[in-house]
Amino acid sequence: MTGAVAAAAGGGCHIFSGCGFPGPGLQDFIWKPFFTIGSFSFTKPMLLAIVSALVVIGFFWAAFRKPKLIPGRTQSLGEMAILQVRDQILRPSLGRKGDSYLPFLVSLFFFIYIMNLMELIPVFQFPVTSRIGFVWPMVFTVYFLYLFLGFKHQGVWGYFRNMATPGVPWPIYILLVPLELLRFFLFQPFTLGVRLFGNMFAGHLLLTIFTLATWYLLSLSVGLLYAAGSFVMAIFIFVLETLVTLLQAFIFTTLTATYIATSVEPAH
Amino acid sequence: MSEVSARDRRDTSAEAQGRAQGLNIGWTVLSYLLSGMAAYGAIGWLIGRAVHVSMLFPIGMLIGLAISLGFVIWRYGRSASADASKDDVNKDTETGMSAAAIRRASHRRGIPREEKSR
Repeated sequence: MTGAVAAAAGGGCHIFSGCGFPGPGLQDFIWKPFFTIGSFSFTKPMLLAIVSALVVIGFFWAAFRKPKLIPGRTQSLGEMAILQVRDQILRPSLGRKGDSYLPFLVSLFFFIYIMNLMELIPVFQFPVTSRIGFVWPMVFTVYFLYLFLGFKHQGVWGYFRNMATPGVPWPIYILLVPLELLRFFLFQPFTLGVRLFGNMFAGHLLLTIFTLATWYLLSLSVGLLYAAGSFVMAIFIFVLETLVTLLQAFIFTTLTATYIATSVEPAH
Repeated sequence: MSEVSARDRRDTSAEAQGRAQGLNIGWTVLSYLLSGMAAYGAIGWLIGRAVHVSMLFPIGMLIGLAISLGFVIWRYGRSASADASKDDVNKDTETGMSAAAIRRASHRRGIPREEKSR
């Protein structure tokens, strides 16, 4: 890390030492590479993304490697996880017909969730999705999937025709064409990605601010009182982030399911 | 017992369905507002560039915002009022109350819905 956290951790920068508050910023999202091969640098977020993928693969492999009729603890946990995604995300949008998308949605949900959760795990302490470069590939995967499904199920012309809202007078259609095209092809995927990135970015920044402030205000003076206040806020943000990590994974996957539903069945 | 759990399951499923729809509508509305401003802002900017009137860019954005707002109100406001009128059609023949009004009244009196209908 190159930013304020490193600066604060490096020395005794406190309120009356005259060093000033080492406020966190964009520099705290930039990591020194572990190693570099040519122009490619391997950084901490990349490592965390790989660890997240391995955790998801490892857990479901352990759960369903040898599935039993009377499930063990890991299998029960795996089944519960899958059923939650099916009942809370897939079925409400796609119904029973959408069960073939369950493996995709389960993988997507848990991959995002674990990447978000990295923010709260000591040592890791960084949400991978707060780097937008990790969010766009997932958005593009979803985007191309629902475009492909839309063209496959409705045909190219049918897909464009079904974008239009039924019951609109034809002169209004002309006004709505640029709106619908931009919404479908630009802003729908854009909002899908930016929301996940923005929430995780802001959450990490808040957590860093209050953690740093606690350390900075810590001194044998009135600052101790402020440090205690900042510590309480850090704990509050931590608890809030445990919910946000889950919620963001849930929203991303739910919206993916509804976009797939719109492509498979235009009347949705 | 099994009837109760079946009913609970139905309620959870309806709740989840409502949540998914709500999420979708919320983000669709945001996308409409953004695309309205972007699309007509771009058209305004292009025309403004051609005729050397820079004001057409913000004017285009405002027109886009107005169009998208109007469309959002027309589309989603209409579906909400349609639901309300559908609810009015399903009025109770004895009391003349709509299904929603009966639910609200039962809730106020603390009577479960099923018992009330019996």
